[in-house]
Amino acid sequence: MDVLAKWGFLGSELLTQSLPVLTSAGEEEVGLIFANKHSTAMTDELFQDSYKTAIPSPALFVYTLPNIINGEISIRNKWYGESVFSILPNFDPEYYIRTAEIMASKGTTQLLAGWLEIEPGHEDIFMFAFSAEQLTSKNPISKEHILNLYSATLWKH
Amino acid sequence: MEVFIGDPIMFSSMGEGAEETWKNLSASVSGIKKFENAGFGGEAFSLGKISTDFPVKFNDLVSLCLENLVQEKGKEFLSSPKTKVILSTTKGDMEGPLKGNILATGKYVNEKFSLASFPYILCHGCASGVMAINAASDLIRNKVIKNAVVIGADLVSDFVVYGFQSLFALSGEICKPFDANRNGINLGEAGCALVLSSEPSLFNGFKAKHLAGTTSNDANHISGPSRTGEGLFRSVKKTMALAKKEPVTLSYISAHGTGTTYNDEMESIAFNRLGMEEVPVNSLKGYFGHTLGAAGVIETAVCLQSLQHNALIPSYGFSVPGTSGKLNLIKKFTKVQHQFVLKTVSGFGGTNASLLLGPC
Repeated sequence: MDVLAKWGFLGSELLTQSLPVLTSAGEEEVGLIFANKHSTAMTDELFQDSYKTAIPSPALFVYTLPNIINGEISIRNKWYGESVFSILPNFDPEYYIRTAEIMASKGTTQLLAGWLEIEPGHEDIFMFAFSAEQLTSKNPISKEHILNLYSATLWKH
Repeated sequence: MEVFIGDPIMFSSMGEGAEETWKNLSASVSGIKKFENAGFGGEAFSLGKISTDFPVKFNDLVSLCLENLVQEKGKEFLSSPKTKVILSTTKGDMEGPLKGNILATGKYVNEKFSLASFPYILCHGCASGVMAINAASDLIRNKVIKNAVVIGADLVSDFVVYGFQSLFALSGEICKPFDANRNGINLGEAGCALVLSSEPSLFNGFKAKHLAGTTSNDANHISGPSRTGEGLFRSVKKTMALAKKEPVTLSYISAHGTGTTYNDEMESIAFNRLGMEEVPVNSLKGYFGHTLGAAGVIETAVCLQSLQHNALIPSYGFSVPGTSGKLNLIKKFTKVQHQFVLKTVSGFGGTNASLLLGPC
């Protein structure tokens, strides 16, 4: 795996291990919503280095698509559901809510979401999960709610 | 709510514009040519390049699509707050710095065309194009927007050529999707824009209805397709169920058909599991090559053209059946009364997506 996939995988494992509602959901019912600013720029450079200095590395090339993490998480959990990776100029809570609403209309009941922004020396990794029910409940999940979770960083470096 | 789709703008190895593209498709002319020194060690590979004389720049290609759109629909349509631009690409501009290159294109078109909001960029491998169209349709259905301009664009770069070469996925000849002698893909480049809207009167030319679209993961392997065609099977099943249509109503399937041993085999299995083995099917990869992030958009555009002209385009490169699942490959240009048309895509990461088009 490359660094983006490793972070996404780690975050997803932490979430599935602490939220039984994710692992007990139907195999087509968990939607994956991911985004970042720079796609797989770090791995792109590593792949480019591989062919500039030696030979093109297939192991690196495969990870030059950001949606591979969606694949890794799907394989790990045997999830056949809806999935998306987008490139956004900034972390955008509305993106997750809007996309979740669309996925919910196609049978998604749980969402596993993340912002996986990787820059050398500065990883901005935020992953969270919520249920489709929370979109329409009495106190529905809001962009402020998501923004507060995002801003409450545990550690900065 | 009904969502309409139409007015394609197309640039690829198959021509400049929708008309020239359809002319070449109808005449079974492929845009793929052999290029010496394309590979890492100087190998020759067959590629679908927009121009054989000069390399096309990514931002110019995306801009060209939007400039044409402005000519057809006007500046106000494009910069209206009710219109969202959605870009589907796998690698974006590979010439300059790699970091932030895709966002840079977003910024460029945002400013050049005074868009009301930053374009939504979908970067999800080879399935991106169909996913972008589905996202547009869903946003319109949810009344988040009224119109969408979906652009699919990707270029042939050393980066992707060397990458696919390192996976032994490239063919030196024009690819042969679903054929017994298939031996790999041809990379291609394209820029294609499609308009979606809840307002039918907005369209200048032919339009169809986007009825439904979904995505499903194989949950099997990150670079090889599922042996049971799991994700494709589930996506198409969901799409047909959402649209409340049966396989018997399909007049045409535009498959992904890349020309690799595994992909085409997987699709044949999925289509048989779906009871769609009799539906006329083709791959367009023998004409355009595999245009990655543009594939789902430009191939859906050809679906629209097929609907418009009541025709079926033959699956270029196919002569001997080469999959364990029986398929009804289109062998010659045929006139047909279209009903519903299914477009499917599959890609690395195990993503599969599909959409269903219907007549107005």
